[in-house]
Amino acid sequence: MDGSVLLDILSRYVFNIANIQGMLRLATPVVLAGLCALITDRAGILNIAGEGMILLGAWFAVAASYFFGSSMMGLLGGIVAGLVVGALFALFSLKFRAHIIVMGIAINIFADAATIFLTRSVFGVAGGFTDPKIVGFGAIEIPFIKDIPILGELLSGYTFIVYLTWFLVAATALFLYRTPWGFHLRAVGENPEAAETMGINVQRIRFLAVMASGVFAALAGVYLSLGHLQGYVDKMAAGRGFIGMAVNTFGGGAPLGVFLSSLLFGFVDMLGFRLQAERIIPIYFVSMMPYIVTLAALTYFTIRRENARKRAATKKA
Amino acid sequence: MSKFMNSMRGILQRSFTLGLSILMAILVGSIIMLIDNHNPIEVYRLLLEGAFGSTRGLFITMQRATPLIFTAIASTLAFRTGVFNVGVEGQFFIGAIVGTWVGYAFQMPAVIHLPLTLLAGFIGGAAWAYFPTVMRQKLGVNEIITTIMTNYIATFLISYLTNYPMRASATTPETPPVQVTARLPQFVEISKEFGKGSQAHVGIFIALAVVVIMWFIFRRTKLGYEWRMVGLSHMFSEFGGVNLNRTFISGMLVSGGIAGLGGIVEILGVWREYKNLFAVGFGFRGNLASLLGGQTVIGSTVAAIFYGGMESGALSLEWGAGVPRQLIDIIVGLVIFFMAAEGMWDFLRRRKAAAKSGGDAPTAGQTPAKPAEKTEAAGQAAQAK
Amino acid sequence: MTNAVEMIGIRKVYPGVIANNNVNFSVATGEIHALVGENGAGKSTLMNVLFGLTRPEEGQIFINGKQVHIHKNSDAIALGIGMVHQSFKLVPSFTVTENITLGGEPRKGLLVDRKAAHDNIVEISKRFGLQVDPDARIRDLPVGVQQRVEILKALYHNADILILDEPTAVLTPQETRDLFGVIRSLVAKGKTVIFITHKFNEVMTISDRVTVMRDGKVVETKDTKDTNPTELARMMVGRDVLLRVDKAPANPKDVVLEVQDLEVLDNRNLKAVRGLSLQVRAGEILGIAGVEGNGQRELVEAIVGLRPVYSGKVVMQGKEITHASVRQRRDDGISCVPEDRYVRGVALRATLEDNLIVESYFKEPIGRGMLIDLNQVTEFSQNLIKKFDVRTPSSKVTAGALSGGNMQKVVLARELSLDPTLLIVAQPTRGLDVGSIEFVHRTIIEARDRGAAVLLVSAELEEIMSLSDRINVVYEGRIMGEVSGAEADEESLGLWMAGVGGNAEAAHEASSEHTAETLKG
Repeated sequence: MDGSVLLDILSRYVFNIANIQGMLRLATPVVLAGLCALITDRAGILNIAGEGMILLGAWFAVAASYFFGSSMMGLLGGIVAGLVVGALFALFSLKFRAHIIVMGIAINIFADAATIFLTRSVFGVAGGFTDPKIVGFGAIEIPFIKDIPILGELLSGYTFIVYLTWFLVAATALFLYRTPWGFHLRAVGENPEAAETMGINVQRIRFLAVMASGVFAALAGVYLSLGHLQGYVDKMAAGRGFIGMAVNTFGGGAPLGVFLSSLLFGFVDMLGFRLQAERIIPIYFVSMMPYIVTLAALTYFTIRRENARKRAATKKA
Repeated sequence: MSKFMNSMRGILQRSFTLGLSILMAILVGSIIMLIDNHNPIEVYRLLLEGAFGSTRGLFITMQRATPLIFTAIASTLAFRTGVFNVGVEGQFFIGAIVGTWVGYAFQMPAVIHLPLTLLAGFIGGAAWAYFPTVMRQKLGVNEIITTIMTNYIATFLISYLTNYPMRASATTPETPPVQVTARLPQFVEISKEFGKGSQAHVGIFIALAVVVIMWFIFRRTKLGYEWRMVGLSHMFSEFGGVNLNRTFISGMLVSGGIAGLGGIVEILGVWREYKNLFAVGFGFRGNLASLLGGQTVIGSTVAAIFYGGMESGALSLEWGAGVPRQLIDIIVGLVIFFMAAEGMWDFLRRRKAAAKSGGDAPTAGQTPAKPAEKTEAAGQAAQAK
Repeated sequence: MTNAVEMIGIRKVYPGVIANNNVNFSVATGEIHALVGENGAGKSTLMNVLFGLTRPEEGQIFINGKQVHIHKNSDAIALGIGMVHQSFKLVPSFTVTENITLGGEPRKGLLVDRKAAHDNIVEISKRFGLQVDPDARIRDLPVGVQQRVEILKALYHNADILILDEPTAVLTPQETRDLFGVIRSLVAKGKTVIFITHKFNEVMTISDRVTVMRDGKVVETKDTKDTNPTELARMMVGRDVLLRVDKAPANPKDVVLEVQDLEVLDNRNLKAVRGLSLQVRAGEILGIAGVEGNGQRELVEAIVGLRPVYSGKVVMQGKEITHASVRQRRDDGISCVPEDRYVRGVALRATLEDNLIVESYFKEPIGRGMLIDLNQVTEFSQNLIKKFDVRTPSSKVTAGALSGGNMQKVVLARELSLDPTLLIVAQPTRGLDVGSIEFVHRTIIEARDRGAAVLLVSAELEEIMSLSDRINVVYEGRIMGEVSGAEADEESLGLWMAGVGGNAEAAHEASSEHTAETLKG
């Protein structure tokens, strides 16, 4: 591939506002899934149930929106579903000491089956459910900002959940690094004994973290079913629960890091769609990249940490 | 002597817990069915009848169980050496695609072609397990995260392969069919009467052979002894002179290999060509079957067959009574929930004990409702020794 | 003057162990009180009771003359008790300020008031003369500074009584000196310090009074100026029961094991064995005496092959095995009864058969090609079970179902089944009943009489003296001196164990220059 073709691709697929908007939209559920992974990871819990939580959130959002005829009720329905799964997950894995990975796999398989089952038994259809009665989220034009050239186009015209997500990224960062509870959460994740000896209730914080992760995942589901599409499709999480773990790892467990690495995933997704349409280069290598980069980052960080440890050791000895 | 009795009681208690978990799952499942306007007793009857009550049902059970046996055994092997192999899913796919390629790209007599194809599947799965294994063993990187990543890399890699270099059909992303010389015959192809209405194939014999071989390895070989001991206590094994790295890596590679073998067997017996992501979830279901079977070779095989049976029953239930077949995954999920939660049973037992003793206020230091304190005390007792 | 701490009749029982048996312990306000004793003597349990980490079955606690009830950790903190644990309870990625204020952050609305926190720390560190950079991250700080942060944490939570749990174990000589300076300045400002240790020179240097504990009881409390290291050592390791062991005189032959100038690092990557040399001959028992934590564990692990050698040599029957694998060394005739019976010695969840064959499954007659002959396994195991009188219903029960004594018999049976040239036994009778102790001792002597070289490592002086043909005393990773078993007396051994005198004076001087420095500091 010579340079001019590359330049052509770049200008058509990357540096254009519609694409950046697409990237931001596609990144939104990934950001939320990333926050789901982040909040549990920072509390020292390996939560692989994000995928199942997203599915349940998406399904209940659609159901609530359909029956109550309101997108906000849909949002509420999704959040309640997330809270309930989160609470059950926490109850079983923390209080009843079930193996956390086993629990995660069980929830994923359960959620996958339960949503398909529910779609069929409640709505009487298979594969997915769309209906005019499902009220989704419409695009919001922000007054004034929308009139600013370029910036207006970039910042305005998204659905409510997109803005909520941006807010949540900032709020999570503020929570983690500026509030006492954020300090407690991070202490619990890094050195639970340190937290415990200072009178912090480790179990309670972990419980709440798992419930919060349920809400984040459910919001990702709500975005997929009421923000992106208007309806439910079987398996619509499409691996985003696991991608959330990847962006959290790649983003170094920081909200901003999660946001930026989600943009990378969103970009790759968007590029995938475009390239798919044009069939220029196989998109699958592009889609694979974030995972490979995550693995590489994981390896790199581990080696660096090991070396630092060794250096410190020889210095002392 | 009393300690021996105690360990017997432990085994009994565990079986009892499993039974109770299944019972509770069935109960919750019944509630779901009642809400969904089905008669639970009728549904469960149809489920069992569908799975085990007819020749056709049995054959479908066999077909569904075949790949699960491989993935369950793969999980069990990893569990026994002390690892949670969440990567079985990806290893299953990679084994299938590598085997498929050998299956369609070469022409040779069946006696060579079929074993070679199976071997390719095994090697594919093992190779896919290699990277996470080495990363864990040499660098200490959590294998659960890495295997989840490699699972996804596997799916994209395969999407690429089936869409581009290996694509045969203009309309759908699928590979050319494997040569007849590499196929595993379905029973219906051997005899028209036998196994009618199912795609059950002779791959089940390979699965059972793997079960027997693994059972034998674990019980009767040096390698199996090393695998078991490293899983039971790597500190002890190291002290005894067992090479931890070699034992652990070989365990993971064979686990991945068995998963890969399962993938290619499913292709050669049922599909005969690789359709993109033909069977998502076999790996994860294998993980669960292994857990249900108590992480033993025989136990997880029985659990895999049972799981396959339930799926087969669910299929006939769906055709017959219109109950979505996903019901089975819901119930299995529930069984796992109840079984994994050992603390819940302790909790219930304590409640019962407390009720029996007339609800006496617990004495200090023996507060039964505080497991955290209990473990702390135990830890300190160990230190005090 | 009232006592800052007064603990009366403390009793704490863990399953199978009486960790504290009617312990009385008092600390005067403003003093530095050393609490010494071996691992498992009950010091930590007593302090955990005081700090509210565990609750005693019986006993009363008075703080500053008033009776108190400490149910949990936070009660103790509220009473002005602070504890610096041996393993620091710090969050590596947090700054010094964040760690110190954790759980008691100054707030401004919903947020942490970072400026107030920062100023607080600066003020406290100035007041007590504990210099730290409040904005440095813990993971970037050396261990000594981390410890200072722990002390500041206690002070931030208004501690007047500070418990320091073996604070010098992780420090370099310079850091130890700094710490002692800090402790003195704290006391000068009216704080009370309880100092847990098992190093006598530190007791002599820093403390006003010292309490010695042994087997869950207090042996004695003395003014430091009225005692000396030798007396302390004797109080610490003395045994009440005299165990008689009958044995014939040794008949030593060729040197089997030779260790030359060995240096080995511990888990914290500090040198635990520092230029140690020794020889063991066939047909003799060499006893390694010493207070625990002076490099014995690392020495044994290095000889067996579980821990890399930093420098020096290990030679077995003239063949260097310094870097050989565990299995190669076992093939060369090394057997070992490890100190961690429950971790290294047996696999608790495995059957007795599996436990017994770990060193012979790969060779004839049990191993055949790639296979294991199960009939041979059973025969082999049942022979050993019978020979060593392991009380078990069958060879197929798990090792975890056995009592401690029977478990140790399983370990001995396995380790002796290969007829070793060198038998290493580390703390072989810890936690065993009298009957089992006798059996273990007899077995060790029988192994010697069959011509094996035996290296016995034990913290129990009585055991060393009754079994050994020769005794080496280890102190801070070096051999302090050697004496024949017949000539050994507690007095001289105690001196060496305390790091005083010995025929390796010169070597000792080099190794413990930091102690001398510390004494001055």
